[in-house]
Amino acid sequence: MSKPTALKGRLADWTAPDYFEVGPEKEASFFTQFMRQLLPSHRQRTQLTRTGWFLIIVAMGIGSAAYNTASNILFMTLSLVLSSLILSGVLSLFNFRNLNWTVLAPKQVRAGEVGMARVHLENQKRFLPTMSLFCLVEHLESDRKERIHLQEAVRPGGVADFECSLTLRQRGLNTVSLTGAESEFPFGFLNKIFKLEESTEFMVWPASVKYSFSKEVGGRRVMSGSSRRLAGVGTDLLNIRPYVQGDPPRLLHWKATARLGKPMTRQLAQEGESGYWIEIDTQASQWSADSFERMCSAVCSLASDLFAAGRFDGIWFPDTGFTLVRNLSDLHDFYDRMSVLKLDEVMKASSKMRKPRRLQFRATDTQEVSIYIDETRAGQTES
Amino acid sequence: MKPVPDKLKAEELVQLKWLMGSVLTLLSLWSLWSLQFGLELLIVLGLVMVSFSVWRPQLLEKIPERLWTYMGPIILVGIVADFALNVSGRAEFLPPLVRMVMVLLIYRCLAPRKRREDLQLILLCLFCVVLAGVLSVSMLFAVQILLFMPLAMGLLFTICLLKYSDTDEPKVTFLKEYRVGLLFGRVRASLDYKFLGFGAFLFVCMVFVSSFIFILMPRFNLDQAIPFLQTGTTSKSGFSSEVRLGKVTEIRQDNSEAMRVDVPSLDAVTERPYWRMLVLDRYDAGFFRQSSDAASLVHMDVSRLESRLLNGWERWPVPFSEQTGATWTFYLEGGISQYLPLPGQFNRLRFSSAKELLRNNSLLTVQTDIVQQSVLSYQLEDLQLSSSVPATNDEVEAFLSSGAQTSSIDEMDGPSYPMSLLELLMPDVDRAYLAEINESLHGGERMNALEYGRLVVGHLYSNHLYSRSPSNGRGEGDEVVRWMREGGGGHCEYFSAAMILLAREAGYPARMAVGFAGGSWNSVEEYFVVRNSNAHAWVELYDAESKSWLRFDPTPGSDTSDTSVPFSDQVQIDVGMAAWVDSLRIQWYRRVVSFDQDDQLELAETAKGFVERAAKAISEGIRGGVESVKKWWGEIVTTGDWWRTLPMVLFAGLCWFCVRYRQFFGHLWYRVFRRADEMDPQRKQASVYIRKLDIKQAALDKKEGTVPGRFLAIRVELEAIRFGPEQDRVTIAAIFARAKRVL
Repeated sequence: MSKPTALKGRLADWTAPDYFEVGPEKEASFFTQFMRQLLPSHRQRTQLTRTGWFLIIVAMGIGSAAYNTASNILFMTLSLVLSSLILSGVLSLFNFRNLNWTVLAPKQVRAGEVGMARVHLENQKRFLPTMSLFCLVEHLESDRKERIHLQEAVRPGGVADFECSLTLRQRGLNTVSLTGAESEFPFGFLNKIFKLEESTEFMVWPASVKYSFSKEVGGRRVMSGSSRRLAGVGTDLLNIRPYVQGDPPRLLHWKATARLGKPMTRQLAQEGESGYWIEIDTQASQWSADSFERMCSAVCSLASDLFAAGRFDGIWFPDTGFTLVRNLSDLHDFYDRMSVLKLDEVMKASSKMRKPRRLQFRATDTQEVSIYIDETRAGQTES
Repeated sequence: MKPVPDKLKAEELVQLKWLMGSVLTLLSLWSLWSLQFGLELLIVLGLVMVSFSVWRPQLLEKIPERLWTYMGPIILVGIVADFALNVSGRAEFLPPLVRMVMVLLIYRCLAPRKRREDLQLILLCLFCVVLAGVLSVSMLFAVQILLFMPLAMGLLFTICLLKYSDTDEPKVTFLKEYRVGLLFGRVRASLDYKFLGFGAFLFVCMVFVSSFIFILMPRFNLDQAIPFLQTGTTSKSGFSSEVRLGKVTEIRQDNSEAMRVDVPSLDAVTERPYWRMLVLDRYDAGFFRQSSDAASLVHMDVSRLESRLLNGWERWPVPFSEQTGATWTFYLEGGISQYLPLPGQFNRLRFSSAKELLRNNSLLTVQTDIVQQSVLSYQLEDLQLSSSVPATNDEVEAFLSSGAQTSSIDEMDGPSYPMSLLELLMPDVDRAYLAEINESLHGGERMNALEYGRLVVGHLYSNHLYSRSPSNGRGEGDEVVRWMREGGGGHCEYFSAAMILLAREAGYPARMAVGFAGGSWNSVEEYFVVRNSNAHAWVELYDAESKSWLRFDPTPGSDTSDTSVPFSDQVQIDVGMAAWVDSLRIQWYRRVVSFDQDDQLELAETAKGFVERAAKAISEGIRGGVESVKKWWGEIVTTGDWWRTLPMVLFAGLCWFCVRYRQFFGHLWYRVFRRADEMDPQRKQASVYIRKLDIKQAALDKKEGTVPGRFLAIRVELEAIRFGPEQDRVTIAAIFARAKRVL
């Protein structure tokens, strides 16, 4: 099976996005295809099922009786049985032809949660449906392959989705792979297994944790109603800028969009109370492995809540410095960075920013993580 | 937009599976009907039960599941008891086996079924169909197996679909909602007719493939047999070693086919054939029988053997000049007789597999050990139809020494063969009547058997008419003599018996021959058909001059052949639908049942001959073409008419031009006739090369980690053709040639 190439006719249109992607070798020559059926490549395996073994035994019995008795009735039966086996192989081959597989990773999934991956199957055949398939899915943390079966037949030109739940325990870059498809179609004699090499990567964000946090500690209260020269969720118009993914649709500025011919978003000034920024300390001397994980989870959980409340300004990393988090997209980027954050063996300078409402995280003796606002303890994670 | 067919739910698939299993069972029970094991009642019961389960399976669900479980051991006990009580020899093994399979089949069909049980059901059904086919060798097997295969595959397909759904176990509720009509409606609504059509097409292909496998499968004559598959049955009573007067005529009531004969050609049948099966020598009060006591057998040259090939009669060989290797193939229907119809002398008798035979060299008959239940086929090589049969030396000596003495019931204790051929066991009154007739016929004059026979035949013709219901009232004395006295109508046995009695009384050894006479010609497939209505009895009279047994047929109307007209012009021709249907049967026997190694060789020879002829025709055609060109050129050179070469030159020039500038023409064709979405062939070809290059590049990269520079260079050029402005044909051709070399 190959990646989507044929939009119309035998050859792909060069405008197809994956036109130049190298896919599995596709035999064009009939002779090569024929030989491939006789001597399948390592990508294909055919196993006899229990029914198939019975069929073979029955065929051998009939064959022995036929040769013993020279009865043409038995020869006729034997030839019909053998040809049904051939038919089974041919139909099984057709069942797997012209299928386009795509793996869609779960989105916005945190460690400790169950993510739903999807395998999207497109049947590019013109006449024949595809049915009775299993696909084999695995991901980095799993020790076995998940077998997901196709609930209904996929009609010619139709699509189907297999859903697979993945239990993700650790944060970080994960891969969900479609390693193969198998089917006993049509009669259950042969189990044909095709090896597939479709995979996609996705980020597993740090797990959510419970924590306690008191915002008033160390926070300088700003009078409600004033606006800040920071983008936020207030009502004062701060700026009109191009649309970026994650911006709420309600903030689209339609007049500017019509005038400029591209989506434009209203940027509102931050209103109400002032925001916090988080300083991340990745020094290995400060953290054990468990407390570091806890810290990452705490950071993300707190950041998520602060962002929802409109009180999250940005984050400071030792290697990249301060980064504003203005919208959902920035937030997700931040989560992605936290997913792959590692302890630094090398001492790095701490932040020199003297911005107020700096949130810091420190390990405690009990493997929990304390939250500090401007050096004042304001909360901690709870188990 | 076409509506998408509504798919069947899992519950409906379970119902469909149930229905298909039941239909398979019905098919299997139907196939068992052709076996003559006295199972009709059980089959009918099974059919009724299964049909009921198709109509109302809900009632079966009322049976507790535990009961089905307990039924298993009960059935097992019944089966064991059946075997123990009934199996006393190999022939009795089959009926209890078939009963066992039937009971298991009905049980499995009616009991709740899961996947494993469905597979068991399919296996049992296959066993039934195949067993019935092997035992009956009937053409119906072809129909049944061709119905069985798609049903079984459909059932397996449904099982496969259920495996991949959430429900693959039948549940009580599924059959509660079962309605046959509803289910059919749902199936029809959910059918994708294109897929169904494709499936039907594939099934036809499968049948073709299986035919090829059947033809190509090597055949070996192991001459082994599974003993209990050699089933016997009772023969039609007129074709056994004891024949009561009237029994042959009973067979004649039946117009079904008894035998089919593949003859080399209709002209090979030079006279009305008498298909001689058995010879009866002893007569006793209305019974004709064959001598079977030990003493008689000693005087008969009988040998028992197991073979598939027999040589012809030693004392009746086919003259060398008439040995052409022509074969007559006989297909004798099951249940006719143990005795093989042998209408004359032959060079070799051949079976498809070894058979146990009893060969009587005195009477020149061959019989199998049992009456075959299914069709028996055999071949006779160099068969010569004959109206006389040579006598054995023992017969000649015996008749020479005995003279014209006849025995009477008081004087002899049942003579052994061949003296039994002069035996006349009847009251003196009847003997006196026979003597009176003989006196009136030959007036005491001694004549040869031929003359005497003709006299007797003439006498019987003129005094009696043919009738299937002989007018023979009750009375004392011999039945045949009584019939002769009364002068009424009679059938062939009476006429033959009368002639035998008269001949014996006159001192001519005579015996009754039984078999078939005549037949008809099937014009569709060109073979001889002999029906049970052709059953006949005639007389063999010993002729001391020629030392042979002469055939006489004293039955009026039986010998309709006019010797001045060839028999092929007189024979009845079968035409019409009945003939066509019967021709299917002979095709079945010829092409399937009797297909053997020789047929494979013949097919191979035919194929080889065809290929050789085709090759020869082609080479001759080419040679002829070359010769004509040479001749044409020679004429031009001789006559100097060079202008005659002009058309050829123009044609050659046009061909060269088209080949040389094919790309231009291809492009022109594309410009004029292209579809809106069709790509320029040059760009298309470049795409193909780019794709091939990608694949090869990826493979090399994976293997060696680097990509040769020539790949990159040629890729740039190909991309220029594919995406860039149009280039001239010569440049493109050169780039394509380089791409081919790189690839």
